[in-house]
Amino acid sequence: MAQVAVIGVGQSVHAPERNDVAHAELLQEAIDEALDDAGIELADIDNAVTASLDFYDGRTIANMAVAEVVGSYLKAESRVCSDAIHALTYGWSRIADGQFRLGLITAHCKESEGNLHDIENAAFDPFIERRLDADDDVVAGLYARTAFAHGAADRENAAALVAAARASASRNPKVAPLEMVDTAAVLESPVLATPLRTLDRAPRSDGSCVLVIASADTVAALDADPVWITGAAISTGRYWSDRHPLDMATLESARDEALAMAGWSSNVADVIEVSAKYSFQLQQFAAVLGADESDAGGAFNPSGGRHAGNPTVVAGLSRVAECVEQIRGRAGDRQVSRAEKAIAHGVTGLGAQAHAVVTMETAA
Amino acid sequence: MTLSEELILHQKINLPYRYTAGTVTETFLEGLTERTIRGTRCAACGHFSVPARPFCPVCSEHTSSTEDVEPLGHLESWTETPHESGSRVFALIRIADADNVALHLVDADPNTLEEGMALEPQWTPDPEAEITAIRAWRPIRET
Repeated sequence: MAQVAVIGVGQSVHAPERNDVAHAELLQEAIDEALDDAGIELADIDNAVTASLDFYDGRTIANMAVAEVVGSYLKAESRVCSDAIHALTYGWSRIADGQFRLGLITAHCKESEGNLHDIENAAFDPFIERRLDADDDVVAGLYARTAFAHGAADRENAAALVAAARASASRNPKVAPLEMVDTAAVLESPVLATPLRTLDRAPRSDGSCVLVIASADTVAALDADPVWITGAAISTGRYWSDRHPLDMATLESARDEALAMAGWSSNVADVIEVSAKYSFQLQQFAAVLGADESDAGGAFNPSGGRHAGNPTVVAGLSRVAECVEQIRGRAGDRQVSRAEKAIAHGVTGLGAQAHAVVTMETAA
Repeated sequence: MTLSEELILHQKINLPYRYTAGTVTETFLEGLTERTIRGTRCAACGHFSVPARPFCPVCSEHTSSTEDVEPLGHLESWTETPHESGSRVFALIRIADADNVALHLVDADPNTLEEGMALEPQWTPDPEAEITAIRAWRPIRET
């Protein structure tokens, strides 16, 4: 299996409403930055894996709307309709397999353009569930009540993680400024779906993220600054109502597979970037991935995580981007000391049905 | 990031669908018109699903034969969400002795709810082959 490295990272500024740009323009901001970082031209890319969701983009085959900016004419573009960390594992396997050498991984989403309740409701089973008019917040509220009642998450500590994420966001130049809050402000924000409050959900966001990934021979030929992907795994769980809220088997299986590929024990990462749309999930996932809640904003989610403001689809790839910048020592005010190994996590689906875990290191 | 001269087009995509229920889901939905709730037991692993479904969520076996179940639920979790009508209470309900839970609404003051509480379905006067044939579930009052 060929070694694969990330050699370029780019992100747009993520903000609640990027009304200044259309989808392709939003994505181009990240592409330009990633290509410049990698020191290559768009024409050098031999394949692309894009991530987007039709219902958010308001058109089907939404990847065609970005075909020009990803430079996929006469090239192998493929697309995933999940969190873009799945696109990375797909693109990684293309190069690891030896068929491709230099790939673009792209993610974009504007949560501001559609009706989020209607988009989320469309994901439910049309026969048994959809007519009841549920959305992601309903699933989160049902899961959170069980998690808090049975000690898998803690109401106050979950709120504290939201406050910590917003403080971290102030050190992350790729997210728009958010109002600073304390734990009490989270707990007193309007009801979302009991026991959750509106600030327990990651803020609505528009943004894009792009990686350039390359084979080892390409890394050498380009004299690039590589961060090596040493493990990558996806695991899909059961449908949300078939899965107990405390059951973390899906994430555990993705973690175990990625760590085994990397040859790590579970606690060797210097940085762990965890993706979760709701505060209580952040606690649950952090525990499985070995992140220490007291390190929030430090070794655990130095970027602020999704609660700093990354949209769906993009959020998991933003976790990877942060890990790459940390390992390269380019994370500015949020730099973690001696960041040589990192874990990035992404999640997709109702009630976090599918998880992906990627390990990265300074050496292959 | 917000400029005053931004041009924003407002459009709506209208996409009507006709969803085919398929044999097993049809048997479940038809049962509702008779105020009957049906489940499916996996012949391979024994997993019992309510509502009835065509495939076992545990072992992926086809589950084709349905069983009528007792119209009794137990409350696993609930959440109250703001709504234009005031608020709604969604719940995860374990129906009969199912191994899974089902989403539905509960008609009760959420402050009176307890995990494991027994629930019964409130049927609409003239139930149709839709999940909304059950208006909501409500706690069974002790007599």
